[in-house]
Amino acid sequence: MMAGFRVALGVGGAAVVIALLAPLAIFMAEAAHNPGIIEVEVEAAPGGGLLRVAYNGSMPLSDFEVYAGDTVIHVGYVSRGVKTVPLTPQQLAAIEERGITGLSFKIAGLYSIKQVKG
Amino acid sequence: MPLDPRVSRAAWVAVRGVVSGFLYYIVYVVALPILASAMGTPQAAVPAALKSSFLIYLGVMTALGVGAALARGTPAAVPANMLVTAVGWLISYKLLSGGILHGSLEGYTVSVDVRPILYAVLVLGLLYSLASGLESSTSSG
Repeated sequence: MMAGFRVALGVGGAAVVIALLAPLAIFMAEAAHNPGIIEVEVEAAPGGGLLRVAYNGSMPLSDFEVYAGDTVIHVGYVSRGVKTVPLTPQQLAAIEERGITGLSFKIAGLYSIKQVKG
Repeated sequence: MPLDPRVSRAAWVAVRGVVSGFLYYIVYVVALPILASAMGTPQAAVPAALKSSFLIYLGVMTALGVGAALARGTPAAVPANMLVTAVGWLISYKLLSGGILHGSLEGYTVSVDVRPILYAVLVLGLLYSLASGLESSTSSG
């Protein structure tokens, strides 16, 4: 009985590890084939501006944040397509002054990825 | 002249220990760090520390494997099995810089947090070792 439990645990454990790795593996494979998988642009708009995030991947991203120096712009949940968030005048000024210096997000709510210039 | 059964048993225990230690080494010290590293930073698939110290890690894992094989059939089988897993996992954790991988890509520093997979492997590995230890503590061979 213990041997059966051990084998089931081994097989089940391997399946769990593969399932846990899958979102990261899928994202990395997509990013390797498409370097422009995430594109962030700023558009001028009355009273501030708009941050436009275009995402071409299949794994949803959460806690998406854009950095402009010390200023953090919270975008939140991003799935395939385009998401726009309004920018305050201070955020727009920070982007105009420093440019976009980094991004961070989570894949499947598990794996944090941070990309910072420099 | 027939071989002394104690000698043949000792040889069998040693072989089994070396093989199991080598398998633990492959799983925890080679496969897991390379896989996790490849997921995070494709340009640095083999951690540098693994290249420079692989013989030390192989020796440690083989010695622990022999220890676990010697403990087979005794109450020490459970802690011995769990110790091999825990040490293997700790080596993985060290090779993967605590689970946060850093790389550079087109002028950007990229960091990827792979700790969830490491923690899952630790829990599953310890459960497997517990079951394996309980099984071997009740068997004589």
